[in-house]
Amino acid sequence: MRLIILFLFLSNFTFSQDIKGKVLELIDNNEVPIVGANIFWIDNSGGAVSDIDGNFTLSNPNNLKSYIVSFVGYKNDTLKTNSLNSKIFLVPDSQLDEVSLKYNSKSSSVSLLSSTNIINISSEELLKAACCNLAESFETTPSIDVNFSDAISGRKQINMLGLSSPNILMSIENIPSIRGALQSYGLTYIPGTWIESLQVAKGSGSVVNGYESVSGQINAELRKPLTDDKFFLNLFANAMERLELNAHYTSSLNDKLNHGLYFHTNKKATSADNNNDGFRDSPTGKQLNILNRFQYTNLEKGLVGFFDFNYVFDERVYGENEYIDGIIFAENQNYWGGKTDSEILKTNFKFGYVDPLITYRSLGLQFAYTGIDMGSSFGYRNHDTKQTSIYSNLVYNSIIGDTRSKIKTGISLTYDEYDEFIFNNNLSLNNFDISRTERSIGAYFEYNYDDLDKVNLSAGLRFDNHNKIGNFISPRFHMKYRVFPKSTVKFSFGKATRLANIFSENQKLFYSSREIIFTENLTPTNFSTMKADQAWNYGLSIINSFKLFNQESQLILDYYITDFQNKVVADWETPSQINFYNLTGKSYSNSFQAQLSYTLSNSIDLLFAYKNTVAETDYISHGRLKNPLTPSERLFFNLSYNGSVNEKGRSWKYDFTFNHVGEQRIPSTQDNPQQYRLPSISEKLNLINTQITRVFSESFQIYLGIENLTNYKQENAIISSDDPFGDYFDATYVYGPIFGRMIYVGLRYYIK
Amino acid sequence: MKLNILLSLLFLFSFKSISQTKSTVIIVDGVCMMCENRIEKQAIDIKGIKLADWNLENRTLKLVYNEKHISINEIHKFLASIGHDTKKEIASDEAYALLDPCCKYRDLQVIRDHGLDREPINYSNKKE
Repeated sequence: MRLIILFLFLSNFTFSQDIKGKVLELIDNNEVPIVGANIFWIDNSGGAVSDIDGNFTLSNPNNLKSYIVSFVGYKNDTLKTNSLNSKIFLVPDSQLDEVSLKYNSKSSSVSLLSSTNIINISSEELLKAACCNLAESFETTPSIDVNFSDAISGRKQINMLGLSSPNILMSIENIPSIRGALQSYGLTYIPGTWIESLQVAKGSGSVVNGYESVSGQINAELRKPLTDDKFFLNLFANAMERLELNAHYTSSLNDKLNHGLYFHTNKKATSADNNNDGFRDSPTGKQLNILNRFQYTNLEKGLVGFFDFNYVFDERVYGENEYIDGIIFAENQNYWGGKTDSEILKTNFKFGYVDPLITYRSLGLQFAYTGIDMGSSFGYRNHDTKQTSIYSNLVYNSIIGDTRSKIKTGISLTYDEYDEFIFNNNLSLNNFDISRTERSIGAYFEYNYDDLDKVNLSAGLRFDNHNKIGNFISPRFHMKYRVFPKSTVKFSFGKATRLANIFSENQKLFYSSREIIFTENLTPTNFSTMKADQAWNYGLSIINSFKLFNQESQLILDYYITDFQNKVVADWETPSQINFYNLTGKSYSNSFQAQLSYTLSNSIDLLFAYKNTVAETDYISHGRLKNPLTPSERLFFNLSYNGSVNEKGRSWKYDFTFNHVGEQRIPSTQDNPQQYRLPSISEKLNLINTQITRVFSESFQIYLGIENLTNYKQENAIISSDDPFGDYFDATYVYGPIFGRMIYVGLRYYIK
Repeated sequence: MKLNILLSLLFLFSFKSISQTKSTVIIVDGVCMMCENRIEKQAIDIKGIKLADWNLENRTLKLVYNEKHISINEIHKFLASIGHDTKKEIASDEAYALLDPCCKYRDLQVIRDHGLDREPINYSNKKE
């Protein structure tokens, strides 16, 4: 530990009370003068600079008592004019303020430095769409498809690399969070305004966050009390009478402890039926969501910590227009409908230690407890889940030799206890008790090498022991190579293992009369024979930056292959049934994407993307088919205008997103009677979303937007909507928006 | 059992060679990202230097090094040898001449061109 010693020889008091002194630095017991140190009066009324020998003279016309000596890299010192014998020891300021560079950064960008293909989405990007919750946050991100999951729940589902969200490891501040019972509604419990940034990693993720990421990893960083605005208020309303309120309040309890209270509520009292099928286009309901955060920061000791507490209450009522929840009388029984009640309690504790002097050495501990209670009814059927989860992860970071070779190692454990039942009011249907306990413990090691120039690679390996899966390893490898100064190639491969949470992931099956069947070699079996999903993912990505018409542009080409060794196939191909079985044969998804971003001017950014996905699965008795309701092609265009701020602090922002969604295969309905059949391929869709924001000042803005400007409405989204208790009822064949054009308005108010 | 082995492995990494490891912050002159790249890349290549992180705004170089292999004086000398002045060692004119034109941190015009408002750390020495 090197101490910098400042000698101040105060001498020679004159009548004018000039202060004379000398600023020195002691290096290996040699006195080296500090040149250019600033010496100034505490009221900033005047100052001096030390000369080549460290000498300075400071005149004191105002007869002040204290002055400050300051030099970059060292902590300031305050001195009294009367302290004649001042020998001051200064410590170097190891926690220098971060450099803030001002440049027009893109709100969504691909990292050129890291070895993984990570797209970073800032909170700025999230403001571009109505973006009420995490599921809707990706509307302006071409790598992720946002689709309606079904015609009943109004829920949106996200896809990456042609695979649905359960294949994406979704974490909140690096704690795997949207899993288990939350696979159904979990994304709607993360309000958009709480999100500080999102990191989307395509392909196999890092071993640090677990073995589950099949097609990618999405991490959401929430707002942090230390850096967040003091107060934030957001009000939102749409033409479907959905109302939302978000309020954030942060305060500093002392210099180390910050507190943040985040509140979200939404309510939808009425529901329209724009497609006239007798069913509500989206559910009515309400949500109450409270997050209480404590953030502890002690930079001198290198300690940081979070203590979070989150409570969610959510209620959704869906079904036929006439269905009234909670009323048990004969007539109501004639209407198909249901309700999902959720109550979630989450407690997170995170703690990190960074050696204040040797900053590459750190230790982190994450601990999360989640209690979920979800009860759902769907016509005659009910699906109840109670889940208790514990997750803990201990990470140690260090280096080998120097900081070009970094290592991460640690252990993690997960514990999930499910009380899960499917029961029926109609005795002819099967009941299921799939209560179970899943436990796993794993250890991992990741090595990262960065030559600070061309190469950055990371190789990770984890070993896990799981009570249902057994022992297994998950290798992961990522490499970046900068071929030319502006061209970078990324390559990755990795293996993922995941135990499917069958009913929560496929909850839309309950919006149909399908019979649930588990089979093995065509003979009926039960839930417990379902094996874990296992897949390899390989990816190649080329990133090219260049000047086009003298403006910055970036072209990204990537190709990813996900190849399943096993998966629990959800077979929708027989209209009256849903069959679950272990994969026999092949299942894969090959996804190609080309993306061009172009800065037209300082205020206009353009983004074009084309995506082609070939996702196929071998189905028993149907052979190899394209995965259902997965668009094979997608064209994407986004224009974003960010106007300059005028002298009154006002500006305009405008956003336009066009999506062309290609053909999607619809599961076969050939066995249905004529009137209940659908074409085997969906229409192509052209969808437009647009939003305009008026910024009145740094603290106030209003936005107005239109979703689905072309007013597209899927016809026949519900088969047999006239007879929902009949054998053919099915609301799962959804490939486009159910309701038409939707206008929304909102306001944002900040106190910095 | 497994846990025990893991934990002991973990601690083995963390306490290896702690005693010889020193951390310090020194001032090294430079004006641009190229300087940063040069300082950091060349420094990290030296045996014994474990971390080198230069900050353009403050001209501070955060160092973690192993005293067994290199002393702080040698680090100052090394930085001067690649053309960068420190508070203790002034780079020779030959070494300084080898820097790219955009890295001429002693030149007030170059400093201004990078949008910086400051003087070279050894400005007075050079004034003569």
